[in-house]
Amino acid sequence: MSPATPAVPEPVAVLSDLGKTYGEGASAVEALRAASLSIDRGELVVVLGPSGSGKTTLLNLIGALERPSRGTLVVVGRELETLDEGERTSFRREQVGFVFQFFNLVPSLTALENVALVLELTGRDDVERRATHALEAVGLGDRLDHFPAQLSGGEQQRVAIARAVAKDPALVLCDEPTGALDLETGRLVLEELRRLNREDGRTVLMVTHNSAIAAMADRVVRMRSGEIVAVERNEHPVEASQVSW
Amino acid sequence: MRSALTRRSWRELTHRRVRATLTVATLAAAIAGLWLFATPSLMNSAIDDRVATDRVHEVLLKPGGIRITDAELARLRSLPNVAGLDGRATFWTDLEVGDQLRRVWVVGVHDFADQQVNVVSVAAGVAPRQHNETLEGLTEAQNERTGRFRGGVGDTVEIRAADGSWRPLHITGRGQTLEFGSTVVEDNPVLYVPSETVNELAGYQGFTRIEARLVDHSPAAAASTVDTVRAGLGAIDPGVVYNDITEFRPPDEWPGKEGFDRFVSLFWVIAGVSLLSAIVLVGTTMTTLVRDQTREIGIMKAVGGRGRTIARSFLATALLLGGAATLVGIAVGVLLANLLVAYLGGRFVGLEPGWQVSPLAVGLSLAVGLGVTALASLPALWRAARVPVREALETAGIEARYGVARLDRALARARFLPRPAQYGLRNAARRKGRSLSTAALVAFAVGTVVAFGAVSLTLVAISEQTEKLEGGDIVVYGVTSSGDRLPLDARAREAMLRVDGVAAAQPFAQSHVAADEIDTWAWGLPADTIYDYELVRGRWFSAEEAASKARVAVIGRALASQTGLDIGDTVDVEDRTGLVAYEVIGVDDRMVNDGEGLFVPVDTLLEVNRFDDPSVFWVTGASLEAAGIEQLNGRLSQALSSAGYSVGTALRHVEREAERSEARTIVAIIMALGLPLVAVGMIGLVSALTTNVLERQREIAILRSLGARSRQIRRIYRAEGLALALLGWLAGIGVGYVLGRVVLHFIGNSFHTSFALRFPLWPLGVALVMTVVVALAVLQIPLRRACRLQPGEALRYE
Ligand SMILES: Nc1ncnc2c1ncn2[C@@H]1O[C@H](COP(=O)(O)OP(=O)(O)OP(=O)(O)O)[C@@H](O)[C@H]1O
Ligand SMILES: [Mg+2]
Repeated sequence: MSPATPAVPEPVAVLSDLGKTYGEGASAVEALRAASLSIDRGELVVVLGPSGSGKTTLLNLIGALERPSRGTLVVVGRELETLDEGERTSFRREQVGFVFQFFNLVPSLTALENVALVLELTGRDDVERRATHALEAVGLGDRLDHFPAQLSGGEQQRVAIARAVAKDPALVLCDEPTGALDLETGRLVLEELRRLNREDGRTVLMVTHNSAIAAMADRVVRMRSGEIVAVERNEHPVEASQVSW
Repeated sequence: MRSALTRRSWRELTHRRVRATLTVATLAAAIAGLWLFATPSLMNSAIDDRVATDRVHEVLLKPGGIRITDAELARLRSLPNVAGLDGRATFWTDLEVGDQLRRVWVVGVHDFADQQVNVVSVAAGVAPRQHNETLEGLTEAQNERTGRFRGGVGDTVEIRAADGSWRPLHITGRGQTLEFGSTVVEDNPVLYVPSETVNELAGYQGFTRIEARLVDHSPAAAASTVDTVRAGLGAIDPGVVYNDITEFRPPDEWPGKEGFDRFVSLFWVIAGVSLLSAIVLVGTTMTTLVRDQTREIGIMKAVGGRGRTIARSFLATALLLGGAATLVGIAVGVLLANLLVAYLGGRFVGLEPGWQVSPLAVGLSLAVGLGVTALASLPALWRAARVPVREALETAGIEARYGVARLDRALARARFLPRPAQYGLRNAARRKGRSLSTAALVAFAVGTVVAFGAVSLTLVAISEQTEKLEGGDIVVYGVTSSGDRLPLDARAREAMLRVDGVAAAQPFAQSHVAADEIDTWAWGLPADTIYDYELVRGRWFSAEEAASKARVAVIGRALASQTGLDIGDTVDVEDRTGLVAYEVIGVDDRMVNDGEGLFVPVDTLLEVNRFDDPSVFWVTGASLEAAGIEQLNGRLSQALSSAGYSVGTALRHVEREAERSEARTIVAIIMALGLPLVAVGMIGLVSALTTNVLERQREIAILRSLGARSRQIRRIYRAEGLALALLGWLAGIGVGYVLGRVVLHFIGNSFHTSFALRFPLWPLGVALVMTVVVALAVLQIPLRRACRLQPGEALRYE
């Protein structure tokens, strides 16, 4: 049992009968149907499923990037569907960190500034030092003043991870973080996520359609056609360096 | 493939409605601005039509009242080279408006049914049939503007006859003709009456103007025809004298042309800048349109689309947009140009031109609207098509190469600025081409405002300075020379000086002359004149010279620069009595008579012209304020008339006020001329800023997913907008200065002299506030939209 997992599981996110429908009438798409799930603090959860199964939808709902159509959703004690836009904004700012498939760094800001930006948004002091520290932690101490266009894909993704965790969020949400990377760099990113889960005790929810990655998860959520079809506990998660595809 | 691509071009427009609308509006504004090019030519063709229908004279002789029978008139009309000839009687007198008097020109028409020259056409109502009937020569708008003449069709006005009695004239309609229209635009009412009415009122017989049109306009032919006509007139009345020099009108001249030509240079400058703005604007717009599609081009190439096929699809989009914009632009342009021509026509020549469309401007609009649009998209298309497929696909709608250029790195070091300002500046640097062209458009707009502000202020200052000089406070003029009334001479001056409150009374005489063949006026003034001359060189004439009636003259600077005359030279001045040589002793800086005036001792002028007495006095009062002057005027009039003088008076402060309001109108016109340019600049700014936000929806979504408040996001984009506005404004100051110099140079040229530009600061402030307000207001809408979108949704697309 890993030291960061508390004895009494404390839920970070609780989803019950959560649903999302896009569009209306004949063209309506039920991207998510009645999903119920509880994610505990300190867990590394991987959501697996074929394309179009609703993984991104699930992640976006938890991160308050989109509004659910039905059901309830409590993340770090907040009932998301009752929050107004301003409260959702501050929820995103304070509680969650995102890592996207295509990095989504701000192109006109340097690596350091991309990280500093979120710290400024959350009103932290000592922004430069913290940002530098976060980048050093992902091994990019020598790339602080590079613009995204001057970084490799893997480096950009590590900046994105530094950006996601620098503000110390309760929950790190990753949507296909290795999707745009080759095996080698993908593994570096996974190691990073694994490290911040194990060493820093952060809760990580990672979406992927790559079933190999599931081997490093504490729990695996399987999705199909907008439904959670199975939740499996992984008794012996492997190290990120052993993941291969 | 073809039909799918055609559908793509179409969908491009319907799906991105905001952008398509913006693009069309932008292009249309640019095209409409081009119609300024059309305005002078529309104006000219409207006037050419008028010159033809009005049969404007080519030569004009001014005998002092010559009686001509119908048979004699027929004989004059059949002289060689005479295409048409008419005799006319005219009379300047006073018109009663309320309790005030206005100068009015009563113009006789020999036969309303058979006019050969300077045809007075009836614009409203009917021609006068009786002696006590008249046509007014002032449109309602002119009446309203000047407030000088409140008569209208159906009214009766009172005018003063030469014998001092008041005669009613019933207005039967409104008359129009180019020749007298130019007097009307100087805001003097004109009344068209039967010739006999003028004779009755003025107390002389026959005609004071012989107007003729010629078959052969050449100067030699015109001169010899004038000799023949003079001989003919001499045969009719051997004692004929001429009150004025003979006027020749070259074929391409028309009354009022000089005033209009001063504006034409403004038009060309504005139209030139408009064209430049249009090209920049169209270029930027199309480049943006294509660049946004780099990714889509990559996709099409990836699926095997050939460069040519893709280019055709994009060109189709460009041409659809350009076509729509051309239609809108031409419609707006036609409206704009015709409104301007109508206004300027009324303003400068007193005519109401009909609607016209300029083929030149239509051609130019099509060329810019379709040609430049297509051409402008080519470089961007070519670049987009050359981007490797892979890179194009990865572009994802945002600049993927940021940080490579030196400017990017330099901006990254600008840490002293507040964060939002830093980000905003970098954003502006990301689309360097577009940011620069946006700033350029703002600069053109600001430059226009600044330049026109400076030019108008300069002109107003010059005109105010000039008008201040003329006539003292009250102008006293004799209204009759007939019989029992006393002449307005030195004794009259004594009478004036005896009136309580009169500080000075000085004789004044004026005569229409050709000085070294330049048509102008000679002023007769005393040595200690109240005219506030400012000599560039030389000196004013002395009391001795004035007393000895010396032939010396101070000339206006425009006259000096045109003729090359300088101190010590001799200027040949032709007046009604012949040629007189004056020695030039000074050059005056003032712009009296457009700087072409000639100042000589008053007694010299009287002697040369064989005038008995000056018949005009300039009176200044001891009190300066208007009420005091008006009371003084009352006392003066009464004292003079009870002493047996028959005089009229004019209050200079009333005239000055009128002139000042005229000057304000001119400033307004000049500013209005700049409006299309300002609109183009502002639309350019609007379009660029909106596009910036629209194409960064994704980036805004990223910031939102990080938890940025919409207020924070707005601040970043506002900083960007402000950066562009400020950059444009700064550049606009330079543009404005240069533009102002250029415009003033042209205007100075038309006055045959030059002016120093006044470059006041307030237009800079106005322009700054204007651009900043527009920039901030414009960003509001797209930013609100972008922030309201759920970030998850925005991130999915692309
Ligand atoms: N805005 C939308 N309007 C309509 N349907 C949508 C919209 N967004 C997503 N969908 C649909 O919802 C379903 C779930 O989409 P989602 O992006 O969650 O899938 P995913 O599991 O993340 O797939 P992938 O692995 O390909 O990223 C899909 O069928 C998709 O077509
Ligand atoms: Mg997905």
